Amino acid sequence: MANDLNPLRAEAHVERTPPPCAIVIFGVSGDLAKRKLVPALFNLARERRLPGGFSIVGYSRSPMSDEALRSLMYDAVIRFSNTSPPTTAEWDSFAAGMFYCQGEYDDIAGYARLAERLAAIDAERGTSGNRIFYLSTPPALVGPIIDTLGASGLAQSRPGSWTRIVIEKPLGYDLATARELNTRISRIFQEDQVYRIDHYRAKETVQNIVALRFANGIFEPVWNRRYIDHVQITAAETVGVEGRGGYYESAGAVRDMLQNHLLQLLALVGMEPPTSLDADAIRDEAVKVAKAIRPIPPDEVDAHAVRGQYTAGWVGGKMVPGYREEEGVSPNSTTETYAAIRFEIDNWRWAGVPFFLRSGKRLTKRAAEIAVQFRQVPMRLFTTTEADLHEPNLLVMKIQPDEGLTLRLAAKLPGHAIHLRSVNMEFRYGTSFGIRSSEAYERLLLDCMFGDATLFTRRDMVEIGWTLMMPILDHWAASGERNLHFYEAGTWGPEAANQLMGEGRAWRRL
Amino acid sequence: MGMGIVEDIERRRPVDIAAIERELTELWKLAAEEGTTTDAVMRVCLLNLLVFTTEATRLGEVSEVVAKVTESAPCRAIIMHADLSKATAETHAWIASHCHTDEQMRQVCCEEIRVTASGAAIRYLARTVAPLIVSDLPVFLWWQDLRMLHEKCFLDFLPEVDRVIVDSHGLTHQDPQTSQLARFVLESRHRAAFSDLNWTRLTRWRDLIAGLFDAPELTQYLRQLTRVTIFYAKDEEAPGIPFQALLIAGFLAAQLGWTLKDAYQINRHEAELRFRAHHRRVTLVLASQASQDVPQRHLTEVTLWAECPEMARFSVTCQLVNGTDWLYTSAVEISGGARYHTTIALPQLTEARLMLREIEIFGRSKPYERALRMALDIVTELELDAQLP
Repeated sequence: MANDLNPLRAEAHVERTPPPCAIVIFGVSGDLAKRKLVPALFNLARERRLPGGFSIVGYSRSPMSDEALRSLMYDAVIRFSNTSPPTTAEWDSFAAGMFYCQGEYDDIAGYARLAERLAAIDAERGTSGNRIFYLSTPPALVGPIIDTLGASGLAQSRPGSWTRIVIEKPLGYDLATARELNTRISRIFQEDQVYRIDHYRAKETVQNIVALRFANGIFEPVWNRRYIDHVQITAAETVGVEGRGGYYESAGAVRDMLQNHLLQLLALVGMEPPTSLDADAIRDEAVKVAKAIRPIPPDEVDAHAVRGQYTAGWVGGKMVPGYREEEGVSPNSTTETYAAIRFEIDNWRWAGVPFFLRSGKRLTKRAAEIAVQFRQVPMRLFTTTEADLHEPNLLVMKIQPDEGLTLRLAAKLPGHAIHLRSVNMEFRYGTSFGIRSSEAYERLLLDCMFGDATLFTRRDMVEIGWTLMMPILDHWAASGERNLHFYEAGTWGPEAANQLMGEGRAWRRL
Repeated sequence: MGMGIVEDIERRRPVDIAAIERELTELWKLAAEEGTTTDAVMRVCLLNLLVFTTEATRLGEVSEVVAKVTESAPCRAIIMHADLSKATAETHAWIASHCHTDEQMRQVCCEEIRVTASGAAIRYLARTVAPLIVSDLPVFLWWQDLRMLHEKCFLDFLPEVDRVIVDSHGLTHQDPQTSQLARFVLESRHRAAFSDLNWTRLTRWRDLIAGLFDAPELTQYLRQLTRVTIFYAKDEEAPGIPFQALLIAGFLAAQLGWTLKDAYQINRHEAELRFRAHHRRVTLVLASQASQDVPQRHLTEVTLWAECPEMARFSVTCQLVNGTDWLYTSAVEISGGARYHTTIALPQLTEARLMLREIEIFGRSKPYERALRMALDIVTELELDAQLP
């Protein structure tokens, strides 16, 4: 709660408001701040979700006045906010809490000026010494900023106040660099001060996985190896690298999607019921199931993982270039733009149930979902004829673009004969609850202000993710082009990915 | 939400009450056949919304509110009209569907049943409507006639519903219905929870006023308040303090643990209340302001002063901009200390918006009941004062 001691809030049915605070955005002139962070903060202000006196301090190298920052952010809100443009009064009030501080990211004098500014804001705007440092900078600057926050004393929480730090992905390039980063962070900040963003976790449907599994008694009894045949987790994009070829060359599908987002989804689907909704209770269970994932031996990578790279093709009625023809991409690049991995979980609940993860660029359709495929009924009571097209039950949790749930059932076709068809029962967020879902960044920023780390990734989960992916990444790095499967843009990826599924299973057509 | 409403009024057709469910099924088939989209018509139902009115002229507005509500919360709506002008006992029903097409051109339809009763049939309206309620879903009853709260017609509904929604907006402290309503709600032993749209209109005010004191350094000022003024938009024709202003006064006093010591009416539109708060006195003034923008009887400003020893002033003001949005400004001014303000624009509180808020809530609201009890005490004290020579 904003303040449990405020008697005017007692037992009130009003939305929670976090305690007074200021957010410092490092790299405020960058794309993320303009596209996501400030529009999200403005939307929160407009929805009365921010505390009175809430303030934003932008920090970057470029010289800029407070007014110039306000003007820059006004344009950003107009362009990128998904709500109506601000009125003059609304903007003036929001912008009055926006300040700028210029300095180098490793310059302690700059941080001293920042500290002075924050102290003045505490006095003028009642932000109570509570601060969030949001690192919206290239990965190379994360370390220097953390070190300088430590050296300047800004990382320290004052008595009765709190200090938190938000870090964006990538959280390392591999296991070694992830550990190095975590160690560097832990020298300055306690783990409960650190909020590692995974914007996938904040999506409504992803949060709904926990509600679906643990607030509905009908699913838990069948949520195990006895009834579930396999699970498919897909994140498919139609876009290519969108001018970020340079970045993507050093990332690839595994680093960009599977190691973090898709593994998080797997953990939410596979975890045991937490003892409470406390952040650590949920994250403990997620880590537990992630630890139960059987590591893929280096000599078996090709049997468990497939990588692909798109070539030129048609997407959305347009000819698009192949990956190697994209700007900033090497003509001999072996970076995977598609990856599919088969994991097994070694525990009582999931033994023998494969979890298939796939993600790719320039695929047929933009879609992200988790599909839980149930086993066939133990006896085929209904004789199969050509007219029968029923398949095993399937529960699909759709994450994008159309958040919702689908349950596939078999039903009898009307008529004298017994012929079966599969029918879908659909629940769509958009049509069942007409209210706007919060944008992921709105939810995450608000949770950070509340000190609720449930949707943020803990250090151990990051390292487990890398531990699982390293044999695959190392094997591919050493293989050159040998196991790189090319697929035409606009298709569902390389044919080799189908072979991962094994007998009687297939990737879903989305 | 950007949804288009495609309400086919012509599809509203008279039906035999006993056959309503069958007729509704037919209506769904028709909707599917006539659907302009390739997707099937989706039938979604989150709740039952029952509406009772005695004014035939209100039916169109109510139907519009229901259509708006179903955009965000698909429901089965049962709109009941008690025709007090006819003595013969008759009941008639019509059914219609509200269809909304969203951005992806999917069609989501909800059902509306309209029932008109006259004569003795009004007394048994609850019996007529109960079988039409979709089972296992919450039932909300929006009761629009405060004069009928003690009649069988209303009382018979109470075992059937989860929440009764009324609107005290038209009432002032001088209306006999004000204290009758408050007593009815406070003394009710029915399972149904009560709520008042007039209280829901205050949600923004309560939230913004509470927000002024969220910072731990500022919370302490709540214990040092000495004076409060509550302004509302004047209604020249209706004397008396509007119930909305009394509810916010009741809210502040009840939440802050103040005891009412005295209340007197200064003139037709103003009153002064005196409270004891631990070791200090608090004066609360209810006063009207001429306002061309804000609708009559709505709050325009709440200001709270504290002395401890520095002067501190906390305020929330409201004004209408562009004829569409309401602009709320919260301000904190502490002499020698914090000084800032926050302005937000919020859409007007239409009945549809209020109903959407109402149907999110289940169970009784303790702050509402505490505020109502205090408002009732204030009304009683003002009545007593008026009787003094």
